[in-house]
Amino acid sequence: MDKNTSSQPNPTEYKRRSQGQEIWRNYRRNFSGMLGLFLILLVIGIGIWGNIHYDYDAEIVNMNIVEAKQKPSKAHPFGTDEMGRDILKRVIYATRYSISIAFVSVIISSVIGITLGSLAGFYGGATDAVIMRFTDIIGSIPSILFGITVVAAFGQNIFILMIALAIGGTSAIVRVARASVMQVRNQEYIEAARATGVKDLKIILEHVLPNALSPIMVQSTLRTGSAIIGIASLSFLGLGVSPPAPEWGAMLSSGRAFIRGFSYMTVFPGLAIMITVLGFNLIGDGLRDAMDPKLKK
Amino acid sequence: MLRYIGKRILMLIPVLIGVSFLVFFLMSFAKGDAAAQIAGQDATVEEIEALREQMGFNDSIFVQYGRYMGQLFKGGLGTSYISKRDVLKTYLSFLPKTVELALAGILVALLISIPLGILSALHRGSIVDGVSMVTALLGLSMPNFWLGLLLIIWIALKVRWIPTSGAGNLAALILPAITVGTGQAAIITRTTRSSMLDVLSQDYIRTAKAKGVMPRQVVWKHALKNALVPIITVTGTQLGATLGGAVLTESVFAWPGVGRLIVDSIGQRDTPMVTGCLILTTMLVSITILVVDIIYAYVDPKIKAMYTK
Repeated sequence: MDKNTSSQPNPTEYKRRSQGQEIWRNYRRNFSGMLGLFLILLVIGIGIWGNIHYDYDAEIVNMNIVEAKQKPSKAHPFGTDEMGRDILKRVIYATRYSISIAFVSVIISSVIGITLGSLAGFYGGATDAVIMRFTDIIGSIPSILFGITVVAAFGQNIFILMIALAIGGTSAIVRVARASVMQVRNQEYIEAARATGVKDLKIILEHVLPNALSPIMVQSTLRTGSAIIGIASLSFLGLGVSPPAPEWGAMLSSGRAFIRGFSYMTVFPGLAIMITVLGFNLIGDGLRDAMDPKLKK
Repeated sequence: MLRYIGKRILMLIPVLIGVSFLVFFLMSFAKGDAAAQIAGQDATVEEIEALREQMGFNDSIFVQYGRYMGQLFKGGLGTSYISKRDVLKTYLSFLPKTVELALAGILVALLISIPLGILSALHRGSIVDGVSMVTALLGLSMPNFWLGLLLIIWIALKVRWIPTSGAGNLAALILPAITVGTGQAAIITRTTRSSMLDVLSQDYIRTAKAKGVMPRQVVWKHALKNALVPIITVTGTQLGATLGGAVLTESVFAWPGVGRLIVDSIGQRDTPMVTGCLILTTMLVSITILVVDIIYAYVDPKIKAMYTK
């Protein structure tokens, strides 16, 4: 990213900053963006703390029927579930599944999406047609149904879950990447690079992508939130993270059987999902404003 | 215009073939097949094997797919492995409930989002704007099925005449429609607001105000009409998504829609049913989006001019 700005003439009255520094400078002033960042750091921080602090076998999955279905109290602030397990501890511990699956799946879909999208956008023609028809096919199957089919096909484990969510989320990123590469493609500096004999790959990596990156990053951040909802949804249907491992969606699914009289069981895991997704949405909105002040409303 | 519609429908064909191929192959990887399900629990290994041979499950996947496509081109989506019923007929018998839920949901969404989006844009920076934007953001961040569960806790368990599940009467539609609608309302409110803000800063709005047009008329006639295209786009996409099957909402409220049918069929390894339903779903969603694109042309003469060129 540095190369683009540093190769431009540098008026003395401006401090020399990289694109990243520039974005951060704008981002810092955005209250809701910073709130989102705070929420996510908080969620990850508490999650890591809980994973170090709690003993998985003794505190997270161990049954303790004597303490089953206790309403929220001082000893168990979120109450206990039907097996007598502390819901607060399980909600905290579960952070690891949602966050790690979401991050990995979004990284995979961003890599695939950016590669395919920039090829389609840069070359156009037949390349574009083939990639976009393929994207249309994936994109036209509702992502939850696609996820269920993939899990049915390849089995129910965390790795498959990551892949299923990644592929389901790719088409949105391909479309955004393609559109923003197409906008940059015909700029004069790309033509200049091509005229001086720079190879296509180098042009894409060094000149096109850095200038087309903002919308892609925003899309990826927002995708992280959707991926977290996706994981919870699949687990809620019994197809995601398998019990007894705590997972927010799976906890909602088992709490649902006790919704009459023990509704607290279905409140807290959902709250955790909402706060985490909210954090990513706020970061996404904040990034969009920071990267393109013109869009700010 | 007609040529454009024709072209769009033609472009749909490769996508549909791709969907059928993808789904068919994914299903072939699934552990177990329908033979064991059909034969029942008491069947011996030999019986299941015989059934498998008879139904062609032992042929290579390409042969099986070839057979499926052959039958597809003859115009049939085939019959279910399990219930032996016609796939299209089964799908059509579940469709009305899905359409009912999708339309009720989008109605709830539009009733909330259009007034809220306009108010927020008109009073930008005010408390109304702040509250509605925060609410929209929360709605966007909330998993839909969790909202469904909360509605059951807050409403269905307290108000007697609203059932927690089922689809027997109009009262049963209330909670599923709110569940589907509020999630969509969040997205449509945000779009309405930003589209209205775009339009409100245009010169022709200032002109209209300056020449003394009533403020109410400026908003409804001059601004909203011009802000409508992005609003219709998201509304269409959202409607399409629910028509594809609101799997989770259907699961929470035991709503007998297409989403449930597909999920159950995946569980039963009923490949023709799953493939057929997903082909039909893709068609339905694509046609919804096509209809939305045609609606644009009527809303926006600029776009209409593009088609008639």
